[in-house]
Amino acid sequence: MKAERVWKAVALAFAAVAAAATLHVWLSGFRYRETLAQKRDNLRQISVYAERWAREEALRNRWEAQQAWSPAELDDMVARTLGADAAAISPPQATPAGAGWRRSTATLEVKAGPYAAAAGLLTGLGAGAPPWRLREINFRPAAEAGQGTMSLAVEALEKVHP
Amino acid sequence: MARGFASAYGVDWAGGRLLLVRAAPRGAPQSVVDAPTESEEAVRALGAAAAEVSQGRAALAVAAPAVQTFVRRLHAPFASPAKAAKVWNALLDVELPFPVESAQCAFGSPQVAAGATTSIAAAVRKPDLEAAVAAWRAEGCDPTHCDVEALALWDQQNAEVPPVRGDLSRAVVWLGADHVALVRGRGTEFLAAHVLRIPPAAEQAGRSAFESLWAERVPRILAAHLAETGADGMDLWWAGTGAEDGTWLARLRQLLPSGGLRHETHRQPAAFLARALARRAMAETGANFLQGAAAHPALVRMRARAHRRVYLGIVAAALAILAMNGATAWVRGRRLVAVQAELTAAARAIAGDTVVYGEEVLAVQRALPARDAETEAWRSALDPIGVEGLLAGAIRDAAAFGIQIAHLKMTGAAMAMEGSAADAPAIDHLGESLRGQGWTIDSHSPGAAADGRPRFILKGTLRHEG
Repeated sequence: MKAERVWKAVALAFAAVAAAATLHVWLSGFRYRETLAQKRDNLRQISVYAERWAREEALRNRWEAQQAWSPAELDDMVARTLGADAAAISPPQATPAGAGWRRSTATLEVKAGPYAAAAGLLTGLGAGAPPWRLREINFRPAAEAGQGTMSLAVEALEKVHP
Repeated sequence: MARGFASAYGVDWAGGRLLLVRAAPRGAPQSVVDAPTESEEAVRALGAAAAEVSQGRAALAVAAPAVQTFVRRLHAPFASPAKAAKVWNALLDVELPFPVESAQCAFGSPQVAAGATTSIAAAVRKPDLEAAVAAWRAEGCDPTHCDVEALALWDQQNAEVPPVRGDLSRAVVWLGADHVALVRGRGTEFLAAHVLRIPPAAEQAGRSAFESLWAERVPRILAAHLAETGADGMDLWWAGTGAEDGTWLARLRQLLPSGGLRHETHRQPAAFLARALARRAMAETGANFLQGAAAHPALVRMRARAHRRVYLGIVAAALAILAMNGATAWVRGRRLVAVQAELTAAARAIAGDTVVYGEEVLAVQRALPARDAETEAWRSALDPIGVEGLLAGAIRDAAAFGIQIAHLKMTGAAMAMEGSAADAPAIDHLGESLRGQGWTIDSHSPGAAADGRPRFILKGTLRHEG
C-alpha cells in the first residue's frame, strides 16, 4: 500500500507539473504571438525605410561591380579642355557617403575664356563613372561676347579604400 | 480492473459434479470439464486453473451459497447516485435479518428514474462467507471472485437469450443440487429472486418433500409476479443439473398453473451458472464478495499492477506533455531569436552598431536624417538633369529670346540672373519659359541699360514636385 501511495504521489506530481507547464505555455502563447507580431511589424517598418535608398544602393553596387571607384582627375580634365593654368582648383573636401565611400567637393575658378570651352569641361566631367556633378555655378560674362569668368563647385563620389 | 486477466474460470459443484467453464476476452465461455468431483480429470482441471490463478493470469469465480445470500432492490429518494450511495448501507440494514456491519455486501450500478435512485444490493454474512471460502479451498479451489448466484443467472439469461420485448416477463428457474433459485424480471430488468431449499434426504424422499414446497410457493410467486408486471403470461427458462432430468422437470412443470406460462430449457443447462460466473468475472461486470480483507492475493496483486500501469501511464503522458511543452517553448524561442537577429541586422544596416535591443525602429528613425544626408551625393549622381541640365535650359532660353546675361548664379535649388533684353516682352517670355522648367520666378526691372535695352533681374527657386 505504501508503494502504491508513492506511485500515486509521483503520478500526481508529474501530472501537476505537466498541467502547470501546459498552462504556462498556453498563457505565454499570447505574449509570444504579440512579441513576434511586434518584431515582424518593426522589421517591415525598417524594410520600408531601407527601400528609400534602394536606387542609391543599386548605383553603388553597380559601381562596385564595375570597380568604378574614383572620378576623373580634375587637373587633367581642366588641362585637356581649357588648357594648362586655365583654372584654379581648390583641394577637394571629403565627407562620408556611407558604405566606405566619400563625397569629394572641389571648386574651380575658371579664368576668362570662351563659354564653349567651359561647356566642354562640364560635359567631360559628367561623362565618367563616378561622374563629377555640378553643384553651383557663378559666371560673369566678359565684355567680349561668348566669354567670361566662372566659378564652379563640383562633387563626385569616391571609394575610400578600393 | 480485470484487464490483467487473460481468462476467467467459473466453477460450480452440483451433486458431486464439478463444472468448470473458461471464458476468454473474446468468444463464448467454453466448458473445460464436467466430471465427478473426485475424478482425476476434475482434479487436474481444477489444479491447472488454480495454477493460472496463482500466477495472476486467470480469475476463478464461484457463486456464494444461494440460501445464505440476500438480494434486495433498494430505493433512495434522491436523483443523485453519489448521495444515494451514502444511504445504501442503512437501507440494506433494514432489509437484512442481521446487522449490515456483519455482512459482506455488493451493490449494483445505480439507476436513476423519476427523481429516485435504485440499486440492487446483495449481502452474505461474513461467517457464512468465510465458511464457504474454507470449504472451497478444501476442494482445491481458491476463488478470486465470489459472485451472487441470482444476479449471475439473470445476467446470463439476458446474455444468452436477450428479451424480444422490453416488457417481456420471464424468469430463470435454476434447479441446483441442494436448492432451486427462481429469478424473475421484466425485459432485462431484475425484479426479485427466490430460493427454495431441497431437503437433504434420500433423493426420492427429498424430491417429494420439495415438490410439496414447490407446489405451495411457486404458483403464488408467479401470480404475484404477473400482478406486479401486469403481464398475461411469462416465459420460464429452466437450467441447472436438475433440468437435465426430464422426468423431474416435467413433474415440476405439472405442479405449476398451465395457463400463461411458456417453458424453455437452456442448452447445456448444468453449466449455465458456471458460464455466467466465468463471463462476468472475465468482463468484471459481476459482483464480488471477496473484497477488502477477504480479497484474493492474486486479485490484489493484479489490481496493484493495474494501478501501477495507470500511474505509469499518467507519468508517461505527463512526460510527453512536458516534452511537447518544452519543444513548443524551444521553437518559440528560436523563432524569436531569428526574427530579432533579422531585425537587429536590418536596423544596424541603417543606424550603425549602436542599436539598443527593443529600440530598433527608434534608432533607425533617429538615423534617417544622417543617412539621408549621407546618401544625398548618390541621389545627386543619379539625377538625370542636375544643375548642368538646369543651366543648359536657362542659357538656351536666354539665347532664344535675345537675352544678354550679365551675371548668372545657379545651384540645385536657386538661381539669380541679371541682364538686358531687346524689349520687355522678351523678359516675360524668358520668365514663363523658366517657370515651365520648374522654377518659381520673381522678376523685376531696374531700368534701362546705357544702350536703351530694358534691364532685368530674375530670382528663382526650384519647385520640388510631389
